[in-house]
Amino acid sequence: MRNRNNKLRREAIARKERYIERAIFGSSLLSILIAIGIFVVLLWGSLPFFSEVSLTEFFGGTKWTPLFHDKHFGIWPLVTGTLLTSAVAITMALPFSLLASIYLSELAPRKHRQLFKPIIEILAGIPTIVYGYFALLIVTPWLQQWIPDLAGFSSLSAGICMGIMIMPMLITLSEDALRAVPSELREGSYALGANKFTTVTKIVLPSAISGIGSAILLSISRALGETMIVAIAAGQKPNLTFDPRESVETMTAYIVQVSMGDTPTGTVEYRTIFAVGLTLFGLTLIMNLCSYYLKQKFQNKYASL
Amino acid sequence: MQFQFLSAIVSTNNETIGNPMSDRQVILRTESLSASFENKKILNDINLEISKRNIMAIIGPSGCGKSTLLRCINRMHELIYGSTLSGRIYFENKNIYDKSVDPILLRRRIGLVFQKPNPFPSMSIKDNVLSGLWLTQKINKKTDSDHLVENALQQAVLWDEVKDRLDDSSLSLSGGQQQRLCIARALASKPDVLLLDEPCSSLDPIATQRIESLLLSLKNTYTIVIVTHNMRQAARISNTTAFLLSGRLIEYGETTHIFTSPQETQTEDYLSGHFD
Repeated sequence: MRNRNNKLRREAIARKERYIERAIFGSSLLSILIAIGIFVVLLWGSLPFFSEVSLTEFFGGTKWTPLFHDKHFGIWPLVTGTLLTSAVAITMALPFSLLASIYLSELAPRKHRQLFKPIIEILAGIPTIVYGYFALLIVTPWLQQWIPDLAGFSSLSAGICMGIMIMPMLITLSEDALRAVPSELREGSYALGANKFTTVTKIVLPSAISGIGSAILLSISRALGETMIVAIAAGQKPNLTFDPRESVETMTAYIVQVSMGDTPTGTVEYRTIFAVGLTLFGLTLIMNLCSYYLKQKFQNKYASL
Repeated sequence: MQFQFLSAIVSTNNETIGNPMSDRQVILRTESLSASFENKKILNDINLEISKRNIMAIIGPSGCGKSTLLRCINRMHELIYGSTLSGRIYFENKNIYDKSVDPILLRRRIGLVFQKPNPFPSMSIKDNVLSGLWLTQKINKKTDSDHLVENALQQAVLWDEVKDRLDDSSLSLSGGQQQRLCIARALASKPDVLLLDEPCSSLDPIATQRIESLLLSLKNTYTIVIVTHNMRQAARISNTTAFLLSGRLIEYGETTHIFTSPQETQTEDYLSGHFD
C-alpha cells in the first residue's frame, strides 16, 4: 500500500515536471517563432513589391524617389546614408570606448570602477529621441561654427550623437572581452618582467581581439538599426554621397517617413518599406552572424585554459 | 613506512647530486618575512636562505603559504588586490623591497613558472619562447632570434618535439609540452633564479618525469626553487628542502637531513603522512 502511494506521488511529480519543461520549451520556442514571423512578414510584404520593381533596379539603381511623380527605386542612396552615419558613429565611438574599456578592465582602482560603471549605464538609458534633439539643436549649430558649409541636417552631426549613444554598449562589451582574458596570462607577462603598458598592449589586447571585434560588429549593427537620431538629425533627403557634411536619409528614417506620412496602403510606394526593411534586416543579420562567429572563436580559444 | 620509502629515494638521489650546503653561496635570503592577504596572515616571520645553483624544494600541506612565499621572492605577491607584506628579502645582498628596486627589472632576473601552464594563446610556439625578450624590448620582431629559440627549447627538452612546427599555435601542444614551453619562455630571458610553483600538478607522470630531469639538468646553471606538494618529487630532485606549516617555516636544510633525520616532530609527522 505504502509502495503504491510512493509510486503515485513520484508519477505526479514527474507529470508536473513534464509540464514545467514544456512551458519553458514553449517560451524559448516563442522567441524563435517571433523572429521567423517578422522575417516572413517582411518577405511577404516585399514579394508584391519585387513583382513590380525588378531586383536589378532595386539593387542596381542610384536614385531613390518612390514618393515623387518620377519614381526611381534604387536602394543605394539609402544604403550609403545608413552606412555613412554608422561609419561616423563607430569612428567617433571606437577610440574613446576602447580606451575607456581598457581603463575600466585593466587600470582603474576598484573605487573608480564602482563610480564609472553606473554612470556609463545611465548613458545607455537616455532615450534616443533626446540624442536626436541634442544633435539637431546643440551639436549641429556648434559644428557649424567650425565647418561653415555643414548642412542643417547632416550625417556628421547625427553620426556623432549616435556614436555617443553606442559608446556604453561598446565599452561594456569590450570590457567584458578584456575581463574574459584569463588573469594567468597577465601574471605570466608580469613574471617575465613586462610592465603594465606592454602587458595590456601586447598580451591582453591581442588575446581579446576577437571578442572586441565581436563587440564592434554588434555596436555597428545597433547603429545601422538606430532610427530616432537619424530621422531627426540626418535629414530626409536620399542622397548618394560619402560627404558627412551633407544631408542624407537612412533606411530607418525612410521607413519612418513612409509610416508616418499619408502614403496609401497597398500602393507600390507603401510596399517599399517592406523591401527596405528586408534589406536592413539582411545587413544587420550579416553583422550579427559575423559577431557571433568572432565570439565563438574567442570563447573556444580559452576553453582549454 | 612512507617515511622510510622517502629516505630511500633521498639516499639514491644524494649520490648523484650531494653537495654540502655549506660550500654554497647564498643568493636569496628572507628576513622576518610576513605576508598577508586581506588581513589574513599567510606567511609569518620567515627566515630562509637559498643558495646559488641549487634546487630548493618548498614542501608543506595545502594552504601553508608555499606559493605566497614564492610570489614574494619575485614581487608578484603585491600584484594581488588586498595583499600586504613586511620584512625583507635579500637578493645578492640587496633588499628587493627597497624603494630603489624596480620590481619589473627584478622579475627579469627571477623567473616564475606557474602551476597551470599559461602559454600566450595569441602567439606561436616560437613567439612564446621569445615573449619575455619581446615584452621587455630586448629584441623586436625583426631580430634574428632562431638560435635563441633553439637554445631555450633545447634547454627545456622540447626542441625535438616542436622543431618542425614552431609557427603553430601554442595551444596545439599537450599540457606537459605547454609547461615545458613556459619553462623555455622563462629561460630565454636568462634569469638567475627560476621559481616553479607546483609545475607538475596538472601533468601526467611521464610529463612530470620529463620536467624533473629537465630541472636536474638546469641546476648547474640556475638557482631553482620549486614548490611541490609531492614529497617524493622533493626527495628526487632537491638538494635542500624547506618545510612550511600554517605560514611558518618549521625547518629547512639539506634534503637528506630533512627526510632522514628531521629536527622537528611536525616535519616528521608530515613526512610520515600525518597531514594532508
